[in-house]
Amino acid sequence: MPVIYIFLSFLISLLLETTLFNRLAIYGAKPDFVLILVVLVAVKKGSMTGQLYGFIGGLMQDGLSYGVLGVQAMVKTITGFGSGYLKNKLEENSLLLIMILVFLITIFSGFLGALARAFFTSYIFLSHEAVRIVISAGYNALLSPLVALVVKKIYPANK
Amino acid sequence: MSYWWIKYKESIVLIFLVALCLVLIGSPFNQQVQSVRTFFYYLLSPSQKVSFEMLQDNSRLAQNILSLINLREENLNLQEENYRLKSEIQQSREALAENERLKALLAYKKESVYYSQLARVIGSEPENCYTSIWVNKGREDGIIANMVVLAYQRGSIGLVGRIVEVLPQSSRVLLITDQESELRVLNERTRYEGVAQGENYFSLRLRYFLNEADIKSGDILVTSGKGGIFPSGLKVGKLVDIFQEEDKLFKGGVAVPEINPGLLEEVLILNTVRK
Repeated sequence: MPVIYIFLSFLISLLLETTLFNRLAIYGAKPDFVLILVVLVAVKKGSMTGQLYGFIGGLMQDGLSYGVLGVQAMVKTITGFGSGYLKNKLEENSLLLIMILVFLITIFSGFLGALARAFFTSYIFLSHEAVRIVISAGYNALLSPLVALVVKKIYPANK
Repeated sequence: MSYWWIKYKESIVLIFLVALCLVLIGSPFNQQVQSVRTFFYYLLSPSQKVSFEMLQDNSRLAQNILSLINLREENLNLQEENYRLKSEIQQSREALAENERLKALLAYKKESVYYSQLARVIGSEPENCYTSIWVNKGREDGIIANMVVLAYQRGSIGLVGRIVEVLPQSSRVLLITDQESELRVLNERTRYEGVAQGENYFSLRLRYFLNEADIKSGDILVTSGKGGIFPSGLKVGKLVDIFQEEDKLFKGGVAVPEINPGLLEEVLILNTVRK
């Protein structure tokens, strides 16, 4: 059942990212709900679940993007895998910690994506791309408590 | 085998998934890969349209709900009335602004030597809104790849991009601000030619202006008409910075696009078939 919820969350996230979030874009940067979901699910359920969801979510983003198919899937798979190592190491109710974690992981993920694009395509990394990644990280950090609530609903804490 | 699997299953799955991604990245854009994209487009395209229409109608729904929560009971009717009136005024303002944009686009459509049709922007790329957008006209409306897309903003009509993918009821527009987009431009004042490339941001990188080219900040750039896709004379942007390229052979620069893709609502799709 959680799989369906997560899949639906990905769909809703992508829908928001391609429509409503255009109005929130600063410097071209928008919140990346899929990334926040992948990170928080990985922190909750571990590397295996994190990387699988990362792969699916990233592939869906790639599907909607005009960029190279597979780049986002790879970035989010690695991000999900890495975030999974924080399982049981993060206080679930510490929103500040979650926000800081999401901020840092978004920056890592953004630069990893840029690196992958630079490696596989003719993409050139420009300075405002760095600014866009940082703004996106800020957005993600601010929205992470909201997504944490969704993840908590999907995966309630074991008694 | 089971020992290795139990001990390293996460790493094994990671290696498998990353390898799969590399295969996808490295694969030529074949029909199978294209069909994955088409599947997602089909999945989200109708809901993008619906959500776009919902946003159009209820753009202040959240504010509405918040203000209603704070209403005191005795002021409920008055505040509702007040809000309704304000909302109507706001809607009228938006309608006026929309009317102005559509009028300008229709006037251009009449004057233009090309067949054209109006379309609404229904979505953009998930990661960055300066790379590509979706419009609500597709194959069923006669849209084909490489049609030119224009828009009206701040009193003038400018180039937005070109159609790169067409579905039955929607199409993707590659914006001139996308890093993959390159077009030949002319300085409208002096007719010197260069190349404008997108930067995934609200700016264009200019290259290959001859050293002797008479170009200065504030000059208007238009399409040169060379390259076979964009007709000549379409406004592209305004020069804001000029510098010598490192190779000393050419002048480079930076331009601000005439149209900000982040603020687009309606566009005009030009068919390059002459009337």
